[in-house]
Amino acid sequence: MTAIVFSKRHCRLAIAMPCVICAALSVFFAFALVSAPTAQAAPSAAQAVATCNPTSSNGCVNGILQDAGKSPIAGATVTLSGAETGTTTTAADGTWAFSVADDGDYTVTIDATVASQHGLAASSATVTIKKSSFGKQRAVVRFDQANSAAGASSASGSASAASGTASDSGSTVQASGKPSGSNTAMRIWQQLYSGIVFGLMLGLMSVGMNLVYGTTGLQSFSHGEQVTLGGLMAYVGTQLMHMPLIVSAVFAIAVGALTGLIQNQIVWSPLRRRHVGTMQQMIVTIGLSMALQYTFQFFFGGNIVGIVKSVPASFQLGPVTTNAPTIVSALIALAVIIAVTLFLYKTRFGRATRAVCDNPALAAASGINVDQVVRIVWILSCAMAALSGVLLGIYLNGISWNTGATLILLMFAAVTLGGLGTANGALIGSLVIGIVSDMSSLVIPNDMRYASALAILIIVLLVRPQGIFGKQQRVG
Amino acid sequence: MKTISRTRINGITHRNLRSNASHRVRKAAMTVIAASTAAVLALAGCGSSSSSGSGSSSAATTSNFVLGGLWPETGSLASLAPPELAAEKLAVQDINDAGGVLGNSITTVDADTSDADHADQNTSAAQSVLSKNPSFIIGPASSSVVKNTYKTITAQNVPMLSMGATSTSLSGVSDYFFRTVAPDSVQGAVMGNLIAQDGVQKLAIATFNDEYGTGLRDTIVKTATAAGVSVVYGETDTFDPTETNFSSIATAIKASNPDATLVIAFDQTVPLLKALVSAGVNTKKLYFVDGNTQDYSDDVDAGVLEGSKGTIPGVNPSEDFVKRLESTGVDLKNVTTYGAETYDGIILAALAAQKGGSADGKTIQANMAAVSGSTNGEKCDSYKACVALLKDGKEIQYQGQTGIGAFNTNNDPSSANIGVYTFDASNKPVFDHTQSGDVPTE
Repeated sequence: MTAIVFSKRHCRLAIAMPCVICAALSVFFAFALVSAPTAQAAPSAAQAVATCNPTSSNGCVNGILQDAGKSPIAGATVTLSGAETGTTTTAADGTWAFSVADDGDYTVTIDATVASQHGLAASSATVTIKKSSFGKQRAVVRFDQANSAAGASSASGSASAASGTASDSGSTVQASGKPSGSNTAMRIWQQLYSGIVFGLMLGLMSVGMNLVYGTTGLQSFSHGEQVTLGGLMAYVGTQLMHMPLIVSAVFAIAVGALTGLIQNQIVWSPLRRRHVGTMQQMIVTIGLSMALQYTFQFFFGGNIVGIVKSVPASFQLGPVTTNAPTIVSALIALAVIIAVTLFLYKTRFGRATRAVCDNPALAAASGINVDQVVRIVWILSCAMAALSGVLLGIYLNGISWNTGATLILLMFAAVTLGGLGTANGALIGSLVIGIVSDMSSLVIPNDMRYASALAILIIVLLVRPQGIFGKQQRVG
Repeated sequence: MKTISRTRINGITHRNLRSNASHRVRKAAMTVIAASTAAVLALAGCGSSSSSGSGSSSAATTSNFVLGGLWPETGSLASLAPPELAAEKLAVQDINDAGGVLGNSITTVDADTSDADHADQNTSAAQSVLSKNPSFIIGPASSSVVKNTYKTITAQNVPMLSMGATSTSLSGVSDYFFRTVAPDSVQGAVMGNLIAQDGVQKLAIATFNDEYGTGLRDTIVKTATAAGVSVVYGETDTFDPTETNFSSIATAIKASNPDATLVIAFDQTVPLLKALVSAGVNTKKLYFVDGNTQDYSDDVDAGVLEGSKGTIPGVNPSEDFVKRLESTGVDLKNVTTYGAETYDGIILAALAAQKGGSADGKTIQANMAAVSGSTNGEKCDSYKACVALLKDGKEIQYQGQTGIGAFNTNNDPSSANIGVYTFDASNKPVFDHTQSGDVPTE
């Protein structure tokens, strides 16, 4: 409302006093100028101002005078000719501006010696002002084009195709970055690193999912929602209950473990007792996945929520930039995966779990309480998913209602790649998926990078159908 | 036509009586086919705008104005829903307080469209609102969702108005599609010049792969490169709208060593911002567009975005208007984007119905341009004042919250405003200035 009233009033004033606003601005900012603007009373005089914004009664010809290293050139004289004329000098930060009342062509000129002294490509440029057109009500004139070959005519200017190659080379100045070769090397290391970190977190989820598959033969599509739940519970802990992060993480894991227990008792155990087929159970997990997703959305909304608000200071670790939470998260994920592997191979209960994986009927016959094993596996699997949700939420800077759903296919891919039902396989598969998807953006468009990971899956399965670590199974 | 008459001649001359019965059957079948073809064509929107629109439920004259609303209550645009819903409530309240449309209070029917990733929900929401025979539909806000729904709606001769669909390709898609927001071509021009005049030499761009994102990016790149800015990353690179892992994008942007970074996204912005911070990109030199110029004070540490800039089409809603939006009881969560556009859209449609004397779709469609000011009528700035003028038989020009000009031949606003904002130390966008100008019609 105010703006409309403002512009109306402005129109009325414009009849009597062109550019009264700009004049006021120029008085206000006069101290910022090296010399006072030329206050010519002639009708064809452009107003030299400190900052100019186009309105219905004035257009702007403005710019910033700097050399190719972005150092401002202060105190240089800028001359405007054309439909209106004027002169100004650049401010300390290199900016200059003319407010013009008439539409038409304007030529901006700087001293040729200044241009050559600072290695600028040109010393004059012609622009067109049309107040009613968004594209032409403000003309920005720059003489410091990064590629020295192109002229400074702002009408057509440097083709963007040429600009990519000229980003570093050709400029005579200090501030240019490292040569592009080391940039590529830096990206390779950095993306390898982020691929490993992401792979470890994916591994943490996949190992749990694979354990459930191994002991019950069930592919759980709702495992992604267990991950989301973990992240969201950590968000509840830190942002809503204002608990420290560690306490919130423990809280999230406890909630995750509890949901594992509850869903085994209420859903999976009765279904197993009634000998419902794994295919039907899988459909149940798909339904559960959708129900949970929209429950999350109902309570937490469609936005991405952050577990931690602050972004910790990053530091250089060899060739990669990282920060403490990322390293700690990756180490926690690795430690938990190792602990679970040791648990499976070194403890009595772990051996029982592997026995159930191999042959549930035989395990039951030899005195192993299969139901007890499956219950513990569900709890363990959901607790690991919750932990990975917390770590992922911190690493990816936020978690939303559908984060898990976007990861479930990658989890399946990782598990299938590594070998269904094997704990180590899930980890290796996850690392391969993580590294390939993160590093593929070096060569293919970024939004296609998950496709590359899934392409690897297909290729590996063609060569080794049982996955990297899977046992060969007789068919028929 | 030719085939039918030849059959008739054959039937009468050569087959006499016996064929007459079969001919009648065939003729009836032909009529059915022709009629159903016509119906299909009408449904598909292939008929010209002057077609009679037979079978449309909204063709009859009525004085009951039913406002349909399509809102992004869930999905990636959910943050835009509160101001839109508040504006709807406020507009309905203002209209009914002023005596309603044609003497009757207006009623509303709403549905949640979600985002373009849930295309099934887009169409089912449109169908559910259409089933209530709305006079006019406000929304959806997203260009992609508009594309998924506008054919269904406009084929029923129900006018629709989007408060936020800025895709340039939507200009003039249908006589029944209006918008109170300027197409991206104008925002892009303002943003491109803004980047250039700030002295940026090397610009990196993070865009999500969506019609809105890539369209706006192309306009900005064109304007900025014309003024001497080099694009070092993102001229063609995009990321998936459902992306959650932004580390490789942030790494690529950091490696391109930009002076400034332009971010075109919706709610993906927050994790992307944090990824940029961790990668060491200068977040005090970011540029945002209307999809993500919003309050980040709850999302990132104070000072992270200080000095970054953003553009939002439309005027900065006045404090008075924001207060009135808040008075509806909807929690705006500090977002006012498209609130004014929604409000003005509803008021314009109500005025069009009032002017035409009927709340059916065709009448509203025919009068939208006139009440928005294409006939240079008397200016009025509230529903109440405008209705009073209409009742006196005068032409009006509604001057609403958005400050847009009359609808042009593409049903776009003929002139519009682009607001430029600067982020303060608490990461809130603070209004800097408005640029206004004409929206191109070609």
